[in-house]
Amino acid sequence: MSSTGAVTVEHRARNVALIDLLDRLLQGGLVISGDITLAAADVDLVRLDLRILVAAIDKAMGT
Amino acid sequence: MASGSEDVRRLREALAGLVADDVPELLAEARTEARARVRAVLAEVMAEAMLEQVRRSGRPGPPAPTRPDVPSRVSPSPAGHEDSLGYYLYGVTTSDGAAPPDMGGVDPAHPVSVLMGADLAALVSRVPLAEFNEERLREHLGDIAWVETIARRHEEVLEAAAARGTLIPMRLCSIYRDAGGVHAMLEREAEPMRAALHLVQGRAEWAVKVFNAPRPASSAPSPDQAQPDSGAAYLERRRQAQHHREAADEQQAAACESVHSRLGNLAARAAVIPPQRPEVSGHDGEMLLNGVYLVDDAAVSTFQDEVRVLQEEFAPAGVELVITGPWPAYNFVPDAIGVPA
Repeated sequence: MSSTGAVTVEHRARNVALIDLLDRLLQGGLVISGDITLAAADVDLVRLDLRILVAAIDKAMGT
Repeated sequence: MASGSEDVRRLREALAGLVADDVPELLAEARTEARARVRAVLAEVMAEAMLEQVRRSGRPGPPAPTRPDVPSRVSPSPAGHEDSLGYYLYGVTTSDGAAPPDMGGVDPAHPVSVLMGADLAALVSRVPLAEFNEERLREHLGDIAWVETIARRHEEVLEAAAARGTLIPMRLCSIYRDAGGVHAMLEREAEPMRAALHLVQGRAEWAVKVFNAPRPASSAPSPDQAQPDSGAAYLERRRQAQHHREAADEQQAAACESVHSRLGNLAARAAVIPPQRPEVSGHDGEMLLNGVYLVDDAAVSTFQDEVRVLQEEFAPAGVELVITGPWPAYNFVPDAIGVPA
């Protein structure tokens, strides 16, 4: 029964979508008083989204 | 016509109604238009980039720099502190799971190691401070290839470490200038760290995204509409289209609520993170829910079965569920420890 069903299970192999990863690594995870950290203000997520998109298209075009 | 003024009054009312009905639709159209404009800008940016590439490849001489698949190495830098190495912190584990995974770090020249303190183990690797300082990091953030490389290495280290024990994942790029800073942090934050480790012990984060099927954005008259019809019929058709959309939206919102509450019942903790934009979500539909769940390792198959049941149950509402995991508990550790607000 568990082998059927229309649900997509994306396995944690090397094919993790970058956007899912950045969702977590740039917005989740523990922020601790390190000497050097990425300030939230440094991360412009909209711009980053655009860059992800452009990079994906680049990749698709094989450049 | 005897009742001419009466007709005008009716027409006015109908127009007023049309405007009110149209507001959500106008917003939707505006959004579509805005999206189209963003695409246009992107197309321009890409065209420029491609032209640049063509120019470069057409030019004799030294080959164009290829996209580095490793972070830019430290170029021979002037003597001084720029040469020094700091510690990149991936996460904190309990000291019993402390043997570090045998692998290179975000800078592959330096292996992952651990620094112990307060019965905790910090997973670290050395990084050149010339590349990993605030100013350079801000620049690197503009380079998606760099971000991707570092993010994937960070995640790989955490995945390897998570297989060995309980783990608190850090946000990308948490860096200490020296080992003393890491030790001091472990001593200082031991209590909240232990509480965070306790929460995630024997559990992992699972994500369930809910998408809707893409729908046509506008309610333009269908092409098989042979005759231009009367204003009243047009209004009626628009109203009906609007009504169908609203009904579908409501159905899908209800589906999301059920998905989140039923999955939440099977999880130790549940949360919702911001939905991804359609441009990057890898799905044509709109993301309606980006749910995250902290699930007991023993309950994972029950959780996955429930996702399948929910998918079958709500497929008629036009939604699709996508599950990913297990992830380190990125969304179930405190936002911040020891950081001044």
